[in-house]
Amino acid sequence: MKGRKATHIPGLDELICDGLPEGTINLITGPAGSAKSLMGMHYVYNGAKYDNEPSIYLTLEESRDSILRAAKAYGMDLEKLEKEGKVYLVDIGKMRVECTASEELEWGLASFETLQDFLKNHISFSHATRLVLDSVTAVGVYYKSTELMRRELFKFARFLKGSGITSMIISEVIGDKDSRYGIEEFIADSLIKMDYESTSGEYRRTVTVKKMRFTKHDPLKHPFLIMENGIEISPDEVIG
Amino acid sequence: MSIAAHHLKPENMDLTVHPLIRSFESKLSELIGVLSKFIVTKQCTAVLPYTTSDPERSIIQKISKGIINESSVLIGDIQARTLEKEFLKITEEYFKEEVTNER
Repeated sequence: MKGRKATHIPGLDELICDGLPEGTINLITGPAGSAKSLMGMHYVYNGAKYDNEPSIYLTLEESRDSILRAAKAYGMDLEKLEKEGKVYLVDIGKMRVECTASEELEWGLASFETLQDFLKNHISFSHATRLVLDSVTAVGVYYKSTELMRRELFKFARFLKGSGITSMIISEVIGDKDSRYGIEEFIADSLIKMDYESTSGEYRRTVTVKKMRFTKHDPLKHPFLIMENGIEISPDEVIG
Repeated sequence: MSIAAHHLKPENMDLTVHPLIRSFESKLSELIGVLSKFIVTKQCTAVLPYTTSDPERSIIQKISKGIINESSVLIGDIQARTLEKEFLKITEEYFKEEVTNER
């Protein structure tokens, strides 16, 4: 049995037997503003800071400055860890905005093939053991059909597993779906759904570990808050 | 600089085939894979109005600097500085060899 990658997010590791199983692909889904990226930042920052594990945060849409600022607002100085060679904040989004739409498609800047080729080299020199891909939603534009995307995503997932890295793949959803394209959950070993709901006039953020292979987990819906130091899940409290 | 090089129109030139630029791309490719081709092509295209197919040292340095700047968002500052040193070394060797050949 392989080890675990602790997220060090208060409450989360308790729901998943001390951390994400090593070498797995973990899908983080939820609507816009549900703190998916924040969870990714915690995973990368905490891994580098507390477990001394080089980690990659690959952003395809949000700018580098925006990620750094958001992380810093919750006490995570990613820039400092970057200077120490423990965190790699990769901004492919910057390249995307600097070219035209047709150039972007022609070069396939953030297609699964390009990302795989990039990561193969990057993991090799950074020795990263954790990865956040934010987000898979942006990759969909490169594929004319869901079938084609499914095939490329499948190859990408095989690559990630082969590399041994433990990844979080973020997917923004609309409505009650579990993933944007309806295919991401099939390649992922786990699915963590983040959401918010209004019960009796009270607005609450929720997190549910809907699926997690290779480990026991708590599948119930738990509330969480965003406090001074970021996400805090209440593992003893259940919603619904 | 050859007479032929002087007469090449910028739009017909492809600096990416220049041996020095190919060396840059090869080094960068070891770090970021196929994205290196995109970055190198972009930087070469940017200097086309100011050069011939046999670029001067200052143009090479401009391309090199552009590649380093662009790729630093992908590989981080530490790796970018290492790459910069390698580019400098490759450039020095290239121009040293060129001077020797001219003599």
